[in-house]
Amino acid sequence: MNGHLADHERDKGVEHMKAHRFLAVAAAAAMAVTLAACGTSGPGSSDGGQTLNLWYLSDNPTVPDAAKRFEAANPGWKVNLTDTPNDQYKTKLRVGLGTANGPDVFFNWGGSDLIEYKKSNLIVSVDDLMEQKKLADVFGPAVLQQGQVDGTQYALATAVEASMVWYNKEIFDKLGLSAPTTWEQFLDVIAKTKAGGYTPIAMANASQWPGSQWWSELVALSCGPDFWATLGTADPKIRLDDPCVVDAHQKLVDLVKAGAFNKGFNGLDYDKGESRQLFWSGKAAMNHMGNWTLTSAKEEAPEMMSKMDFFTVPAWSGAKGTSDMMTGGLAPMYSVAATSKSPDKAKELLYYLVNEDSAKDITKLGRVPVYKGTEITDPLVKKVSDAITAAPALAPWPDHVLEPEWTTEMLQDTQSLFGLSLSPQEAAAKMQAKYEQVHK
Amino acid sequence: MIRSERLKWAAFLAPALAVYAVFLIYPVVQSGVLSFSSWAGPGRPSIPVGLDNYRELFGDPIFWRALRNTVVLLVVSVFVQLPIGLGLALIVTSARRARRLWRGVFFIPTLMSTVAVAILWRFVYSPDYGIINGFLRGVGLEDLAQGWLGQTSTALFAVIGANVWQWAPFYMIIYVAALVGLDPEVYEAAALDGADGWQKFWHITLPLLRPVLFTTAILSLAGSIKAFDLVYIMTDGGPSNSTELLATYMFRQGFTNYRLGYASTIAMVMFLITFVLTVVVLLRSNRREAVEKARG
Repeated sequence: MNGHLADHERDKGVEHMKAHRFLAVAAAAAMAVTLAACGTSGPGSSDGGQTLNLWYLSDNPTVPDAAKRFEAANPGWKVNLTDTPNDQYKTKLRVGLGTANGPDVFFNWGGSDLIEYKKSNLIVSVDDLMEQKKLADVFGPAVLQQGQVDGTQYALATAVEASMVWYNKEIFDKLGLSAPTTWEQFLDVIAKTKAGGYTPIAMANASQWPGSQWWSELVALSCGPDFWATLGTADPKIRLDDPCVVDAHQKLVDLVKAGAFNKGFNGLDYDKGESRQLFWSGKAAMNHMGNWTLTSAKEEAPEMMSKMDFFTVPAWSGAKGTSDMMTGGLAPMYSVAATSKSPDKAKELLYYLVNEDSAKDITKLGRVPVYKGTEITDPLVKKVSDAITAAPALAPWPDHVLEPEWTTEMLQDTQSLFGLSLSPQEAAAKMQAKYEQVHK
Repeated sequence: MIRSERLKWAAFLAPALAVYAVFLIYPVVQSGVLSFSSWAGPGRPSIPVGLDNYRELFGDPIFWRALRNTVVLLVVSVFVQLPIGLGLALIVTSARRARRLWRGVFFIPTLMSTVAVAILWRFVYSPDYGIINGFLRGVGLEDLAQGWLGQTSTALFAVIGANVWQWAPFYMIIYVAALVGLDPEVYEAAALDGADGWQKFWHITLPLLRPVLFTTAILSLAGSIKAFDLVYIMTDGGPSNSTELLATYMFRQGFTNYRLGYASTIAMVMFLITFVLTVVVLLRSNRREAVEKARG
């Protein structure tokens, strides 16, 4: 379940879920066959170099327009669009990238995936595109850096995402509460909403990544923004069983023990809206989730747009981070495949996916563009954008720094922490052990 | 003459054999080879690692957990699900009227797609909106209401319950077909000898059903070991691996962690277990048949 950034895609509903579950089932049933027959899933390859294959996530309906603008500016060129839901996309890209039927330009999650693509020579540098279009002027250094491997640009992004605590203003007003800025106030808000008969925080953690967002934020708060800086390198400065991690685990357990979450949350499915339902219906006062909650609200509960607001998870005394720092990353990101027969045109297409027009389009979805100076009209989207811009640090999602195998361990251990079946120390020790196993 | 007969056999067998070889035997062999290597997917190098994957597997606590859960599922399938199927079959065939209707009603779960069954049971078990907790609250047993799929203590049996509900009727239909085919004269003879219902079941029905019981046992064994879809949708092996099965763990290692070599190792273990169990069951049933034939 790596790639939190795109997980909001799943909001699209049960339809997609069914489709991708079916595919997953088929994939497992015929795993060996799949392996033997890899590379047969893509659309037909280009004839005469006049066609480009673009693979992207189905959560982004702005892509076809960007492709049309590219086609209009490049007569004779056609873009083959292939959109796929989140989890299905991961498998598809894994077997399709690097084959003759694979994409020319493709969506990806950056981070550790990008490093792996580079290592396997599956992508090409877009430094020349940066130069040609003067992109260093329109994207900030922090934005560019997330698409780099060893200082070379391999991916560019359209938008940025982060997680926060969304709250129902009506419930807060009724109980006379305001957005907390310290951990004590936060616990107080939880106690008072609970006493008021509400579920304090909606949670659905069967697929584990919603819980891991808590983990990421609490660890980043506890250990400070530099925590992740060296973890992906050969010489990490802070270990995963550092006392600051254990402390973050303790805070997480404290939340569970304070009754902050709805009953049975480890078996509820975010994909099926089981946490959002509680929040939309006013049963739960808060919902800890990414800013794609705005996109979900627009689709599922438009009346919530005027009823909700957010705050960032507050720090506690002893935490190295501050309340205004955030956890998140860039999405969507795009790269050019090394197998592309027309890399220059592919780069041109990539440019159309991240340029000013695409930034404007994606803003309309309630997402936060990274193209400098894009106008944002929706006040809540604006507020998210301002909070991310003002944040002293944007800690990355852990699965963007570390390997999928370690991520799986972290997801499982975090779920166990939430289920109170692992102690804070045990969970930290297991994560460190897996880290050492993966990095040996 | 004989030679041309053989050629004919070969000609008729060849297409099926070719399909079988390409889509079954070759992948199994390839998985076997992969299980001794480390591979992250197409476009990446496949590195031979000898027995490392197997060594890691036998020291992997989640593998043992998945194996244990699979065994629990297997035991429940054979010793609870099959008897329920047989019980349903007996009820349905002894119904005085509307036999077809009852058969149809009981068979419905098996006709539903697994995704629908999984989603239905997720609703049944839902902590806030589910019918089980709703019932418990309704009769004043609110303390017993829980997040059935969300806690490690109940999740496995909750999932297995849904599995039994889905598949027991499938075996019911097989048993119904077998029961209908039994010779009524044997029962008449038994009735003349003064056998009661229980004696008839124990001394006539069960022995006559033995071949079918073995077949269903094998189906049920193989089905449990490769069980995947229902669990994948209901819990995805969670929470905290409490419902992890061999197949879901294989999928996680292969398609979430991209350790296709290690996933193949799990697949090989599943293959071996299924193979050995099937051979054992088949041999036993063959031997019994041989013994009975010798007895006359």
